Amino acid sequence: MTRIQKEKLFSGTLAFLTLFACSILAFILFAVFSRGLSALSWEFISSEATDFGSKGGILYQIFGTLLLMFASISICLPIALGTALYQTEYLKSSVWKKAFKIFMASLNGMPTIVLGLAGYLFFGKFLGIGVSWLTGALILAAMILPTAHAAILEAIETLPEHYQETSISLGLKPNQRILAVVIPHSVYGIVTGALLGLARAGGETAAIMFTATAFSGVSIPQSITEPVATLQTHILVLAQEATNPTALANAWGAASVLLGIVFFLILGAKAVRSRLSWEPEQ
Amino acid sequence: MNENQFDIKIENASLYYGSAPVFKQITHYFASKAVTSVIGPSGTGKSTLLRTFNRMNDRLDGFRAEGTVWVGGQNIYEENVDVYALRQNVGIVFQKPCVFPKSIYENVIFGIKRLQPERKKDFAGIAEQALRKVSLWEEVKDRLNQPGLSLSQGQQQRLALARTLISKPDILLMDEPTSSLDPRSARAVEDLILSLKENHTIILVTHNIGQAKRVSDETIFVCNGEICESGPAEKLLENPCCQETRDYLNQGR
Amino acid sequence: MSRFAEFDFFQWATFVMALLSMTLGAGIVAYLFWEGGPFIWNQGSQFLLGLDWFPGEEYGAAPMIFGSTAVTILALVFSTPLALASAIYTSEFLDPRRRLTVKGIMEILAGVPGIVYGLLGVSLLSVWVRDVFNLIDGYTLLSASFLLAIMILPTIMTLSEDAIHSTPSEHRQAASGLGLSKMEVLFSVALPHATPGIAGAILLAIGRAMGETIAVMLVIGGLDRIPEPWFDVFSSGQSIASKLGREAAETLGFGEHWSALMALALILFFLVMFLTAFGNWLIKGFRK
Repeated sequence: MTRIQKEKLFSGTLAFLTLFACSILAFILFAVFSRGLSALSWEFISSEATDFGSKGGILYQIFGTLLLMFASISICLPIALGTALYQTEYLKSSVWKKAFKIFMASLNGMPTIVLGLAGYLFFGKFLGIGVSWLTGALILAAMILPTAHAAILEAIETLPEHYQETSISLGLKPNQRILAVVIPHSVYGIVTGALLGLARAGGETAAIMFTATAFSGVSIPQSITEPVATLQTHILVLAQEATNPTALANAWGAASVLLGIVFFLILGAKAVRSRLSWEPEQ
Repeated sequence: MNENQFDIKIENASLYYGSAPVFKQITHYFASKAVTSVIGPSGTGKSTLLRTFNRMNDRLDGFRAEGTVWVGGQNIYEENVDVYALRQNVGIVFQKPCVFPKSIYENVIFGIKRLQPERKKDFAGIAEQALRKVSLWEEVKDRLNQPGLSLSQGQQQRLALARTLISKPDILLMDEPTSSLDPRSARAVEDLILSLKENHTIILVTHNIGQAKRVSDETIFVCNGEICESGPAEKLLENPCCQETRDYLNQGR
Repeated sequence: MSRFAEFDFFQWATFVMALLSMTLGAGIVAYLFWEGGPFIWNQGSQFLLGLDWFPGEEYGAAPMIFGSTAVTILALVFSTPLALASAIYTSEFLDPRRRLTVKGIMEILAGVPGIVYGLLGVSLLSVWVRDVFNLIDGYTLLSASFLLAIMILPTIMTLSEDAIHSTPSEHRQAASGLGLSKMEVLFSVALPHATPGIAGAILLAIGRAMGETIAVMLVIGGLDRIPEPWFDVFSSGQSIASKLGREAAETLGFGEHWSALMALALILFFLVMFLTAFGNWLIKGFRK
């Protein structure tokens, strides 16, 4: 075999494997949506579940997932932004900077089930909020904190040094500099961080299954100490009834909605990352 | 000569970056309302010296200054110095023009907008005045709302200068302000320096000996962590006494 | 630094936020140590090597540790060749636009929620595994590792691709200037350059696989036993994470059973942290 033939064979094999890797996504989309779309209807997403989820719709599940997503990001975002700003703009000691990295990494490396359980003990038991959507939102906020923080930090760190220097040289104080330069430049990081955080929170199950949700008999919570139903836990329960065809159909329907929400957010984050940044310099 | 006539003096100052001194025990009185150019081989810390005068080096982890650095009658490395007021009084222009991705007008009022928001209605007038000072007004008056980055490099550098002049600094620091410009724009900036020295004490770091000759009144030559030689520009550049200075000047020819 | 004292609202607000996140990170780690540490200390090898787990009587973590290790290694075996092949092809043979498309696809694949993989696993994969291999049911270590293989594919692929792509172009040009073909340049220059990055990517993927709960829990079978013989991947099993997912609800916060679970969580946390830290170090190391 000549060198050229060898190379052709090699690249051909790689091309095939790459195509295969990419087709996994296509397969997943097809597998979920082909089964889910038949269950999907206006009625399905606008009515409540009956018969332990095997009949009826997923209205409150959608509501619960969205509630947890948005509550957790509203808690997480100020903390992520504040932490990133403090780290880059105020903190001088390199020892502490390292400590911040380590603690964020531990939070990021924490398996979500562990985070959920520890979070429940603290928020649910110790603070007495119980199994409730607020407990879930707090746990999810802790879970997505590293994601949002990393996106914001990256945006702040790529801020060209001479923008910072120029604003310092004009006599701006740190807070004025943050408002004038750092935050405007980092908007895209904040938005991407928020969207990726939302997507992660929306897709998470293990952290909330014992801590924030109830399977049946829940509607819109009347107080912060009540649990919600979510798409994730709904799918979890229905998946374990794999023998009941209507239950399974509803699980596929719920999975389609969940995938739709999550993909929408990820694609949004991708679009933002390329558009919203300050125009590059010449 | 009365000592208080000097806007900037350094006395027995040592500047450290990490543990190694960048400058050891240097003393110099900078001529007021005049241009002093700082020349010397690359890597000798000319920028570090320049940035000492408005404490821009504070940001560097491990930077330390010993001795006294007097700016406007105040030892600026003492405690309780208002660095923010200091920096408004000591403007700096960098090597590469720094223009924010905002409109020309927003770029000019960038600092004052945050520092004196209560003077909002005066901004337009102040901006015009500053742009006239750097002879940019005629070129941009009809397109103040266009992006600052649409200007040529030379115009951008003058815009940066206008932005600095707005807070009415007494002292201007210039860190190779023309090295990224084409010769014509560079000349325009040099002309500006000459017109600004009437009201400002200017310190100019440059690699361009011709430029030092054209614009400066005094020149100091730095190398090996000290000020080897200083004196009237004409004399130092034409007839240096120090061997290092001679070597450096000869390289350029 | 000047002590020119003035109240800076931002400084305080951001400080409080930073303190919150530090406390959160440190607090959870401290809790795990406090709850699970003494248990491991007291039980020692009885816990780490014990084969049986009967709440109230004895707690042996070996089956779970075995399960986590087994599914993770298998997942790597399935995933790594595919991920590396596509990383190489994407970096070396695709034009920039297609390259970004492939990477975008991987990014989306990485975002598929665990529960969706779980559903696919329960209703499709486990059925296929059962039918293809003629088993009684399809809830096996093998099914779990298939799912994990797909879940970690984007991690390995994306990060390895970054590593290969970051080979300095001078090195490539020097090599191709000597008359080497694309493939030869790849093996002589790009891959050696990217090796630490690829290793880092694999370690991060292992960390992810170890921590995954929901998808594994649904298909692994939930049997706290090391298979006989130990390489029987068609047997049911249990991973640390799936154990936590299944049992934590029974005993939230109380007693010895809980301490045993938290001891498992501590082991899991250590494994994941170690792998992630080492992986990140390798990835950053080659960038320098």
